[in-house]
Amino acid sequence: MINCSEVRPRIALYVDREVAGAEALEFEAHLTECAECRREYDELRETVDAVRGASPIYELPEQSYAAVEGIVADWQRRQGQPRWRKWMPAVAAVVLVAVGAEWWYSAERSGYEQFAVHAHRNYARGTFPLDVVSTQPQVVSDWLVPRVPFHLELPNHPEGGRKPYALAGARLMQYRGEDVAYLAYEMDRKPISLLISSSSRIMPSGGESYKSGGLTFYFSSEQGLRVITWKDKGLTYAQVSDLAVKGAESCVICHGADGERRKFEGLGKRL
Amino acid sequence: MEYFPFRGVIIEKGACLSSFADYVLGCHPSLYRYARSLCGEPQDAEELLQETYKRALAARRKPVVANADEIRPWIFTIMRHVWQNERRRVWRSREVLFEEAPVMSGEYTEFGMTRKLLVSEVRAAVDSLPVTWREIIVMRDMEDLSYAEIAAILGCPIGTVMSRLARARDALRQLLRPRVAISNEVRQ
Repeated sequence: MINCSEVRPRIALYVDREVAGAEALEFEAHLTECAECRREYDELRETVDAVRGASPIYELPEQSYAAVEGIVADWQRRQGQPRWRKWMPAVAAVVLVAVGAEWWYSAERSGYEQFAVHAHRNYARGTFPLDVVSTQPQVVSDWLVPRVPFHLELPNHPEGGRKPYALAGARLMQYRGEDVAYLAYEMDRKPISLLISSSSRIMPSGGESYKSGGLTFYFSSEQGLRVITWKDKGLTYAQVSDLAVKGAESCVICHGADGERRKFEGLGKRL
Repeated sequence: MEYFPFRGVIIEKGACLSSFADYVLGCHPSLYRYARSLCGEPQDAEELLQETYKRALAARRKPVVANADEIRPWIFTIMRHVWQNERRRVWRSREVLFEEAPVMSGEYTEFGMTRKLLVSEVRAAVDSLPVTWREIIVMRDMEDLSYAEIAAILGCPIGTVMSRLARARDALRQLLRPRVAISNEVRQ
């Protein structure tokens, strides 16, 4: 037989039907005998019954049905759609990011070419004085080496190995916070500019590409000028000229003689 | 509109219980009442209700239809999370604290008390409770959820549910004491 100290803390459990079976029977037996426990039980029972009897105390507004049924119907309609439709927003987002990245990448690439063209124009107009003026590659190399963040050694052509172009000098420039070398050449009294950077952010690009000697050259036109870009041993080159020839043919003009011609084998077929 | 209890879920009479959507729609009145206990204001409760439905339907893991008993505690839990995470700060400011509860008037006579008045009195008393007591009264005494279900919804031990429920009922008893006997007569 259970006593009052066991019954009192469990009155709520009994009212809430959380006790059953033999325990409930013992409980009921105690309540019939103990007036004090019975009084406590009755008080709780009355309160709970009053609340339950008044329920529901909150009436559901009529307009709530339409709103909730609309949400559920919308969900059901989406359930009936093919699975791939659910992924459409995610796919669209990925495409958008890819297009944005490509646009940004293109802007990055073309920026270097435009910078080279701008430098070339200034040099051609005479508004862009060179820091070092010399036709000697060694002199120009010696001036540039301590000033740029990369090793640079301009080739000394052997005597007799005549080139159609000649070195004019060099200048130190800044592109996006990094030092780049600007080299000026001349051919038939026309300027040719060569920009050299060691920045890993700059990638060569262009409309037409040509592979030779393990390198890929890109050819494009900017503001009526021919631009060739390529990357070699961590350095990115941009050559600007107003040569009247298009694409890879311009390479042959300077490098088509002597032993260098083999570098451009097959060029004629391509062009 | 008429409702009847079906294995712990309040389902509209005659409704086709063949799908998950039917079950969650059947919880609608029950959910609304719980929303009212959390928010107080009808407009806020409706907003919470709709947000809960959106979250519940979008959930990856849902109770299977065969386990209808699990659906209501599950969706109550979602409602409580929504309320806690996003709205509590806003709605708590509107809450009427128990200490500030208005003293109930004694203008109604024993014989003049109708069911409407009983509902009004009980609602006023429940509304005047702090939200933690109010929600437990609604879940236990109005929605008939078990201690274990309430504990799962609140994320607390059953002992906490029992002690909180006891305090909430004590407070209600104080508020309804003059009328409990009368209301019982009215119900009878």
